[in-house]
Amino acid sequence: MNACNIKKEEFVFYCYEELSPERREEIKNHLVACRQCREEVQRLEKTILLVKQQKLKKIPSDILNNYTRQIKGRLAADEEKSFIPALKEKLFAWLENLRLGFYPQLMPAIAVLCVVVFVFAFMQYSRTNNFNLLNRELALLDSLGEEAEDIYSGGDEAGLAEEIESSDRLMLAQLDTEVEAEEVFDDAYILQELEEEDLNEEEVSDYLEIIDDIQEIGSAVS
Amino acid sequence: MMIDNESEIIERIKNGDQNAFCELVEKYKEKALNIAFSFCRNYEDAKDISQEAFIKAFKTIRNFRSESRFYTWFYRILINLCKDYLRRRMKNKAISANIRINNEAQEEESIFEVIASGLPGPKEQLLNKELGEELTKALNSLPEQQKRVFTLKNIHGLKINEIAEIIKCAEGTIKAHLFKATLNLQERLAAYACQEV
Repeated sequence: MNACNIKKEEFVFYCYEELSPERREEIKNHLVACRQCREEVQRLEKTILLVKQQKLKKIPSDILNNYTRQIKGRLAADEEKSFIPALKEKLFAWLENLRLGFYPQLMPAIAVLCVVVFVFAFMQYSRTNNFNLLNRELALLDSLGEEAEDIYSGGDEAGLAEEIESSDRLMLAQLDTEVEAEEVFDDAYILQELEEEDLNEEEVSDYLEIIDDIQEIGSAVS
Repeated sequence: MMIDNESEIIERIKNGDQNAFCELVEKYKEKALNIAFSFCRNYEDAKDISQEAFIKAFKTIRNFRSESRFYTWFYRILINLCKDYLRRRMKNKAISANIRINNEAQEEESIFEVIASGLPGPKEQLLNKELGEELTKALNSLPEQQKRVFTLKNIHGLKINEIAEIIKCAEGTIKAHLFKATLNLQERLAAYACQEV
């Protein structure tokens, strides 16, 4: 920055006409009054002018003459090379048209709809899958049931019946024994109680007769 | 053939009209060649690079948004290809000494025409020839980004905001490069500035 408080960059952009109109006018007015700044700007302008006066070399005519034709040739060659990129371009163009055809507000709704359809399809698939699984299990059970029935039906029915009967008799005998045992225990329990009551033999005998009567009534009812 | 409305041309190109594309090529081919030449310093490579840029522009024209100008979008493609070219050349330089020598010779070749018209005598003409060569050397001595910005501004006549759009840089950065490049060149060309050709 010089004594006039103008940055050197501003002089450079002043020369390039890249300052705002207001700032350019301010510097222009300053340059009228300030010789030092004016000389600095003139040096910069001379350098820039030296460059701008230079002309670029002329392009050889053989380069320019066939230029566009060569580009057309290269484009044609590229098109012939592969079918797939062209197909890709058409697909992209179609997708672009599709995108442009939709209003922007519709896009979220379409996205939500896609999600809903997907979830629904997934649930249907799961349900169908479970239903099929269930059917398979039932079918398996049925087949097992049929097999069991076959096993039983294919067996010795008479022998099986006899065996069931004998097992019933065993069970009944076992039951009788249990009942008798229970009665003996009951009598012993009662006698113990009666002894504790300090009763005489006649009273004990009376009590036992009563208990017997009760038991007979009970067995008649059952 | 006059190009009345560039946006119409571009719409036709987007629909695959190659003739419309050729109209655009005819309009911009010299500028494209000059820009490419200022990077690579030989016309054959400049032709290849600029043609590749046009073909790439044609194939990706759908990416072009009408908010920006076509030539800033196209120049971005072109300059990116020029940068790739320079990178490949630097790699080759490291591999072969012969190529390095040739490339040095190419780098010294002036991009400016020797101006003969309007000058009074041979001394002035020689001075102008020397100036062109000295200017080329001075440009080559600049860091790459400063050279690029200075060339686009002073030789190709672009504005700072256009250069920022092409190089994909902030305008402040472009201004900084331009300022430094201008001061560097002012220092190197001080003797010529005094003589005033």
